This record gives sequence, structure tokens and C-alpha cells, in this order.
Amino acid sequence: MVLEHLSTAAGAIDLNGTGHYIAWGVIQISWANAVVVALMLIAFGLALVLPFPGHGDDAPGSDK
Amino acid sequence: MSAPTQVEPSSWTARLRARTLESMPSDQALPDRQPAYVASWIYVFGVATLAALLVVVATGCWLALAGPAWWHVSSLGHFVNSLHLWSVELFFFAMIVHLWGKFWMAAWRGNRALTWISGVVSFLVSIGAAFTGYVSQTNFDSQWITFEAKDGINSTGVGAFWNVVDLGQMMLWHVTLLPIAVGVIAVLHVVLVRVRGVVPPIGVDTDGNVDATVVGR
Repeated sequence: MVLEHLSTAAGAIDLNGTGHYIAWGVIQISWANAVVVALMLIAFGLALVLPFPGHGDDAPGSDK
Repeated sequence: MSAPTQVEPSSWTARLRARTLESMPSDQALPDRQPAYVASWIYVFGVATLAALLVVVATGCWLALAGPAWWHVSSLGHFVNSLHLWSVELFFFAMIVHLWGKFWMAAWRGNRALTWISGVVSFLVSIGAAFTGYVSQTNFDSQWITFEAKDGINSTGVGAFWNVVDLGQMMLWHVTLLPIAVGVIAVLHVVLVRVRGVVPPIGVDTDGNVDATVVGR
């Protein structure tokens, strides 16, 4: 059952098959492109909130 | 005894050298330390874009040397072709996150307008480079993309001298003019970042001190 759902979700962004599209008024975007945009937004959000490794008062390479 | 007078160099090479050293001292060209505010993931995406660009160029050179008959049929050719495609995907992914970060940081502050503009131009030229790549694949996918795109391109009026259904022209733009343009602009962009320094977050000066006049508003 879970595998079936995963297979359906993967099919929506399968780059080798027929494209699946989100149609919302004048906006039309493929699921594959929408997923990439969502991943970029997630990466941007995480880059703002996640602590940078080694960041501290005496971190090497830091002026502070 | 009189003090030696400063003599203006007479040759253009000497003037260029003096100007270069003045605008970018050696410790600023390849620094081993950065301000504390650079220790953030949002500052990683610029160099990630450059790393992806290096893979794009390296795999592109490999594809150009071996040719379509190789990248369409051999396993290694398919692999290198895929590396070229996915490094381009990562290049744009990282560049757009970098763009968002710099936009919301107002990265044109502190006499960095040219740095921002060179980044914008690099982004636009990269789109052209990627597009000509899609129409130069020499397969049914590229035929489809070309014929979908030609009406849009022709409607802009540039189709008369930039013909997307001309494979030879698109291929030459893709493997010579556009990569050279992206490379030159990317180098200029990096040099400008080094000359002006990495932009600090809003409300922090270049020494990492909080600017009370901004934060306190």
C-alpha cells in the first residue's frame, strides 16, 4: 500500500515519462519543476536557521 | 638631500599593476580568514554555484571532445552526459538560492552595485547557455524543445539572426560563445566580491559589529 503511494508520487516527477502538470488558473507548472522549487525554498529556509558547524567565538578561520 | 618624488609609471603595464595591487592587496585576493558573519549556510551557495560550474565546464569539455556518437550510445557517454545535466541543475539550484540570499540581504550595499549587476547578467547568460544545451542534445527531446521554443523566440524578433532550429548555430553558441561569456562574467563577479569584500548582514558593519543606528530603529 505504502509502496503503491510512493510509486504514484514518483510517477508524477518521473522525467522519463509523460509530464504531470499542476494547473491553477493561469499558472501551469510540472510536478517535477514544482518539486525543485519547493526544494530550493526548503534549502533557503534551512540555510537561514541551521547553525553553521564550528561557529563559535574561537572558531578557526573566524575574525571574532 | 631632497626626498625622492613619487614618479607616475609611464608604461600601461606598470599602471595596470599598480592599480591592481591598490584595488586588491594580496591578502584580499585569496584570504584565509573571513569575517565572523560569513559563518552561515546562506554564504555557502555562491561557492557551491562555482563548484557546480566547474563540473559543468569539465563534463562539457569531455562531451565536446568525444562527440554525440559517443554520448548517445556508450555507458560512459550516458554517465558523463547525465553528469553534465545534473551539474547544471545543481548550478541553477545553488545560484537561485544564492540570488535569494543576496536579494534579501540587499547585497548591492557598500559600493557593490557592479557585483550585483554582474551576478544578474551571469544568471541571464546562464539561462541562454542552458537553453542552447537543451536544443543541442541531438535527440527527439531537443527536436521537441526546439520546435516548442521557436515560435516564442521568433515572436521576440531575434529569430532572424538567432535561429533555434539551426543546430549548428545553437551548438556553436552552446560550446563557445555562451560558456566563455559565463566564465568571464563569473570571474569578474568573484574578483568584485574579493575587491569589495563579502557583504555583511543588514545591521552589521564589515568588522562584524552591530550597527545600533540600523538595529535600534
